[in-house]
Amino acid sequence: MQHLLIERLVELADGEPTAAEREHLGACAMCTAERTAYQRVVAMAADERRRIAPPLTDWGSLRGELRTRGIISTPDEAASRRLWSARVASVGGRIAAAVAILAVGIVSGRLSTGMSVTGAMVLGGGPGDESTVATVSQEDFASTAAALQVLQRAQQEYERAALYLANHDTSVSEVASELLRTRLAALDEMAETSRRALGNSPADPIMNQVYLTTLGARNMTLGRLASALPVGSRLSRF
Amino acid sequence: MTKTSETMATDFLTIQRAIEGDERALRALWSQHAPHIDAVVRRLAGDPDLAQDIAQEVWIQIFRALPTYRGESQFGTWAHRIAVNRTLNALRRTRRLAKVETDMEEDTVSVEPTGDRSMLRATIDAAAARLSPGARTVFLMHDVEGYTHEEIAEELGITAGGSKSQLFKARAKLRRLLAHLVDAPQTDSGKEHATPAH
Repeated sequence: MQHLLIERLVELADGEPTAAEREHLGACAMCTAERTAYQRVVAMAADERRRIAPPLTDWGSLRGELRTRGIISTPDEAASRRLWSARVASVGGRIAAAVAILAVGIVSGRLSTGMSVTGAMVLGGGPGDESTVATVSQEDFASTAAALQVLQRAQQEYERAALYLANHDTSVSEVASELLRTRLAALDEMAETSRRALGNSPADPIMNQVYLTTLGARNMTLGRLASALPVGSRLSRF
Repeated sequence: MTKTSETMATDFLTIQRAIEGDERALRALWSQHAPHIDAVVRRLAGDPDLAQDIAQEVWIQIFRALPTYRGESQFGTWAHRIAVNRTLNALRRTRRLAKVETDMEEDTVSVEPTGDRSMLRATIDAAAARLSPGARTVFLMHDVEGYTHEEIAEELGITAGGSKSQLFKARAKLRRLLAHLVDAPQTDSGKEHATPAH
């Protein structure tokens, strides 16, 4: 057998030779010496891995930077963070619920204009429907807490606006009863759909929220429908 | 409970407090792991001043990422990965890792053979400093830090074959640069890589 190639000897610094290579290495002092030399290079590198040295950083300057960036907290802040951590899970649930409420609102609004259930559930506005395009800031939030705060505020604003519209929206007064009936029919359909979905996953918090919100919206619509009917008329269906 | 699981449990409690911003916990983690983490940064950066700047940034990144630590590996191993990644990013920013060079110098390092361990370390440091940036980085990541070629390829944005090629060049050159150490027979079971006095 010829001498092993240099590339192979380098590989064998930390690799296993084949049977033929082993046989050659057993008989060839030159190849064995080369392999040993490479093994020593690799061993020196491994020694370097275990090397420790005085830290490059010092706690004083690192501490200052950590304080500036809000990573180190005062004891009060730390306690607050503990409380915050404990609430993260429940806040997460509330965020999901807020999204569900928003989705129900959008879908029921679309259904009340006569769209099909499938069409109403498609995300995004229709072609050319620029009025539904929200302006979204491209800037990142400063922190998770800041993002959660914005989301909670948005949820509160949504609920406030929905309540206001429920009490003050007179734009549908002339055709109120017909629109409300359409909305009621849509909400009934949604309630039935979400009830079936809930049957498949009864513990799903989001589906529970959607179902309950839909029922709430249905009751509210029923109340408005009763008040929108001409004097002397009574609600005889739904 | 084994020593390793005890260590991990201690780390876990300390990490929980550190995530909450507890200064003592953060300092404890830094004190325990800085000798190793900073050594990684020092090796990869090469330049001591640059290493010092990077090390501070590495620690800030480690502490920022604490909430993502899942305890699947030891904290030191997890932090080591962040240190390597952040150091390589910092080096890219300073354009010290702009391209993987393929040329190899033929110079040798002029050091006096010695059996002193610290001198031997200085020797491999000095020899590694003579490698091209690409070969040096691959050598340090593979032979010193223990990364596989696939992991190196991912970190550096090269192929695994490219990593193997760079490692071959690095080892071949180091073997020549350190010939006075690696060619000589060992004096004491090979642990010291010492060159015997002739």
